[in-house]
Amino acid sequence: MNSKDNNTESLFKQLDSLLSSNMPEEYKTILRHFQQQGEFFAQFIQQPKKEQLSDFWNLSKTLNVNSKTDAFTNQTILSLIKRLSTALDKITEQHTRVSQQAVGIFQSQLSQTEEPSAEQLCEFWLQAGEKAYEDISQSRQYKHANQEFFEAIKALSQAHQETIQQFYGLPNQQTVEDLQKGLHQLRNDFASYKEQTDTTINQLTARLEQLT
Amino acid sequence: MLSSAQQYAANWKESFSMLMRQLEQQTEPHIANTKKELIYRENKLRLFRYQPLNIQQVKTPILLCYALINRPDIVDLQDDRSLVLRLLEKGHPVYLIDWGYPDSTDCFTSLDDYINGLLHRCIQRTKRDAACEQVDLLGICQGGVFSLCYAALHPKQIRKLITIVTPVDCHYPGSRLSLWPQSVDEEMLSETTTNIPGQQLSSLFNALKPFQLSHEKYRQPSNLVYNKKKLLTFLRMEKWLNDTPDLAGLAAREFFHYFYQHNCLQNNSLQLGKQTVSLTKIKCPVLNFYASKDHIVPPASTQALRQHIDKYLYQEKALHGGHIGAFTSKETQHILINTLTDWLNQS
Repeated sequence: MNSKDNNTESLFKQLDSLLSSNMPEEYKTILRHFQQQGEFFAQFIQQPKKEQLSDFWNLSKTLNVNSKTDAFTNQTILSLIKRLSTALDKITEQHTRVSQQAVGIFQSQLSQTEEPSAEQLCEFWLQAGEKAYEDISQSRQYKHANQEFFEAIKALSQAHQETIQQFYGLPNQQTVEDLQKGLHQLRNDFASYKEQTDTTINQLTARLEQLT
Repeated sequence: MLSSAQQYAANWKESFSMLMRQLEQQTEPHIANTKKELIYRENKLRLFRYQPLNIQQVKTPILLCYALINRPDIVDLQDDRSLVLRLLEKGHPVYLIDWGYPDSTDCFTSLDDYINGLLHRCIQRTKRDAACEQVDLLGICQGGVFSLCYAALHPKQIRKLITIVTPVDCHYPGSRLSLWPQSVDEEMLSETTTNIPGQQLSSLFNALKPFQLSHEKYRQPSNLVYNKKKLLTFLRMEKWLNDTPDLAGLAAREFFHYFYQHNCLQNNSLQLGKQTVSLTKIKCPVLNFYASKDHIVPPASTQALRQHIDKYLYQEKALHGGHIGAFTSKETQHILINTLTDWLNQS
């Protein structure tokens, strides 16, 4: 195919066809990544001075933590969902700080360069994002919001697991853990015993060779 | 005349189209191709001996101990980026520990089990297989931490110790990785028994440089499509990065708790089994490599090792690159291997 014949529509038709083919899944993932980032940077390059610029450093989207969980009926779970929702709001607030600070850094870099090329714009974008993230991720507020977020997820997932175990009459966590511990101990004991036996056999073989 | 933005878009379309065509014809690239033989297995663990090249062999074997995070295949990514192959070319007998893929029945495997159990037994097997009294132990990243702990607890087993991009001081200011475990509540951590999914770990490492690793990396296909070799290396790296074993729950918890929350290795206060791990008890020569652009284990975190080892036994060397590039890039591998083999051959 001649590169001059390429237009966006035919390009994405070609992509759709590849994504539904029997190409290895890992290649499909790579192509999707490049397609998404192609669109992302094309939009970015088209409008570096317009409003809504901070959305290009949207850390919530980048880290994929922007979906709120659907409601459950259980009261404990409901309260844990509320806790997660609050934690999510706090971490999103921190992510917004990152994007706002990144805009400031980016605009300062822009103001120092006359007519930057597309490549320079992308370079400024990256530097601004990483610098803003480096600064804010080390702040006390960010660490605190992060801690609350992780703890809320963990608490919710534990409660959810227990509810499901009770509902379906599955063995509880303690029973499963006892079995896991028992199996682990058995494996360790067997491996130690085997190692000792092999060492002894090795020593006896060496001694026998010396004697004969 | 096209503007810079139009030119950029045209370049992108052309190179993305090329990428699609190239991937359509590309079979999956293999990694870890150097021939090796399984000499020991225990539960999920495998111990391999690499097939030696037809050259004069060094007596003491090198045992490679990689991290539990990601797969050890990275030490043999492709022929021109293979730490294993470079060592074989210098006549070293090379052994490798593959920790395997822990499942839910392994969630109570502890750091003590890994270091005093699995690693210890691999060292005994390697010694017997190579008919040697001691081994040279080479640990990378978390594998380096395991190697340091082992050498401190079992000094007679190790002739020489090599560590690459290994964290020692985990509270070094600016360390982004230490941010996460420090933000998790201790009580909550101790209640957790389940394994940590590999995908979660991948996300955590991506979040250390979010814009670089989620956007910039996939921005411009033209960086790959005009160089077949570069594309194949990229595909192999992607394959390796996406192959992420889960972490055994207890060992992961202990690692975050002891190393990243309490900095026990640096403080010589780590308890394994009934013993205290003190790095000052390491009595073999130590060669410590650090990466000058490492965002996961900053140089200062690695260099902290020098405070603990007798100065006559300790050497360190900077490698220009990042955490993985330090031992996979062609340029640094040359420096790494020459420094390493010269040092190993010193009596």
